[in-house]
Amino acid sequence: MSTQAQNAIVAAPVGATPLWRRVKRALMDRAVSPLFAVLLLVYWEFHVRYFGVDALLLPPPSHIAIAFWNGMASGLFLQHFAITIYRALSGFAMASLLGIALGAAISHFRFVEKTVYPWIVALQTVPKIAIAPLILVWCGYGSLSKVVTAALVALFPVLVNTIIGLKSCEQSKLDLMRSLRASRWLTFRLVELPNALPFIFAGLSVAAVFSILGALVGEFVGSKDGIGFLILDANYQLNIPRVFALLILLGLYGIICHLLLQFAHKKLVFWNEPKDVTSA
Amino acid sequence: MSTPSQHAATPVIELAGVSKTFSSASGERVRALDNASLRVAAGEFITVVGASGCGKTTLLRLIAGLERSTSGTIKINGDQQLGPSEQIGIVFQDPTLLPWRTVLENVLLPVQVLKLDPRVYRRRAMALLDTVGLAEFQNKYPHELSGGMRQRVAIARALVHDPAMLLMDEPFGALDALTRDQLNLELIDIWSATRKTVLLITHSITESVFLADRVLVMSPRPGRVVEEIAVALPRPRNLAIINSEAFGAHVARIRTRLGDGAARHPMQAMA
Repeated sequence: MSTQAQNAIVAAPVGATPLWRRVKRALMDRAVSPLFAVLLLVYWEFHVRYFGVDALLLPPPSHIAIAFWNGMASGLFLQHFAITIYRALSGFAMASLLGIALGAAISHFRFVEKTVYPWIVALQTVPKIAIAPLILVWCGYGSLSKVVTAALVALFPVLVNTIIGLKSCEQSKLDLMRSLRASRWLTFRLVELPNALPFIFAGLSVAAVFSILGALVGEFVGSKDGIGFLILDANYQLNIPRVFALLILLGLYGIICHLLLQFAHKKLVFWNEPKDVTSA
Repeated sequence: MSTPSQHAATPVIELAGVSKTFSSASGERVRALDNASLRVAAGEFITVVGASGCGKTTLLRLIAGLERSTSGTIKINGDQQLGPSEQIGIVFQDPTLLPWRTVLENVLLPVQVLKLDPRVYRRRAMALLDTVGLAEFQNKYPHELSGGMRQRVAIARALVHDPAMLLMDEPFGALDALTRDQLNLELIDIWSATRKTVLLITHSITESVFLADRVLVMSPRPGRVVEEIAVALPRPRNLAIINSEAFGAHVARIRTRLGDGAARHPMQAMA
């Protein structure tokens, strides 16, 4: 009896969290960051209007919203956006295929590792963006130069992560396959490649962001269409609200890309929770 | 206990003067195993006990064909061993399950690699999972299982292609004491039912005596088999036997032998 009573006394505060505390926690978790953004936007609007900041330097959010709406409604944004996405995704696809294939070759064949890998490490230190003008010269003014720039920028995260992932396989798993006299190819297919998938996915999420970056840089260097062209064009016309509107569009694209890859990660690499990739 | 007729037959595992020397990157040479000789008859349960670094894992890897001996001969079923063989099933310290495969798919991995008939062996895999009490977990993934359950899956996987012998490298070392006792009992059941030849490595003296027909005691630097102790305890065994006087005598003998090994090379032990 006495122990039961004691248990009841001890259990009460632990078992039931008061409603107000749970509501507070839910608010903290979900509502705080959007609330912060709204407050910031309100202050921004207020500051620009009240202190008379030149709209050419910093347009108020309302102007940006109107510019965004106009751009979307006229179809101008989407038309150029489609072109840029096509370039970025083509570059992303190229980078993914090449990165995984090359990474597999490097981690599996000593000869390839010895000959190619030092150069890849050296190339990685070169800012790829600096090569963009050269690529324009080589690949022309059309889409190809943008696709190649996007692929080049996105290649390295995929490649490096593939190599790390393939090399991270535990020795005991390899021993297990060896004890069954499994061929190298079978060991690769059944153990090493799936084992590397979490790493490869981390590389792919970075590459998705990098590929849009590459496509934009390609368009900045020289293009007659695409979001990069639109941004430069708006900038020249001092249409700053439109520049901001286009940045929002790019931000939305980045978020959607990230969510899609995270979803794919959860489905395909279900045994390994995705880690948030914060490296830019 | 094995009968004399089994001893007369070809040993399943036969080591004669087997040594293994590793050279480190700095050129330093380490004698991991020195002049080991061993005959294991079919159906015997052998345990190898010793401190870490005494070469017991090297011994197992040599028998498994995962490592080449520096000198000496190793014969499996009377044939010169030339590398890994499907006659051997291995259970590692870590369950080594593939996290993207279900329990059943993990057990069937050797069947897939060895290109055996999946229909026939699927039934066998299910029966093995039933033996280790995991039949209803066949479609679960490893991360949904406890440590003990994972090691049970690893045992089922090691047995699925019906190898003649089972090599186990400290299979229960990472488990808690209660789960470990439970798995020791299950292992004895499996061994009794299948009559596989088992060679199990452990650093637990109690475990080595409880499971074995014979215990090999090893001492480090260089790794050597310093004594072979026949365990004269009746079977079937249950956990109560651990408290018996005879059991205690075996344990004491091994402990003394292990202590000897360390005391005899005080300088090497310090280095």
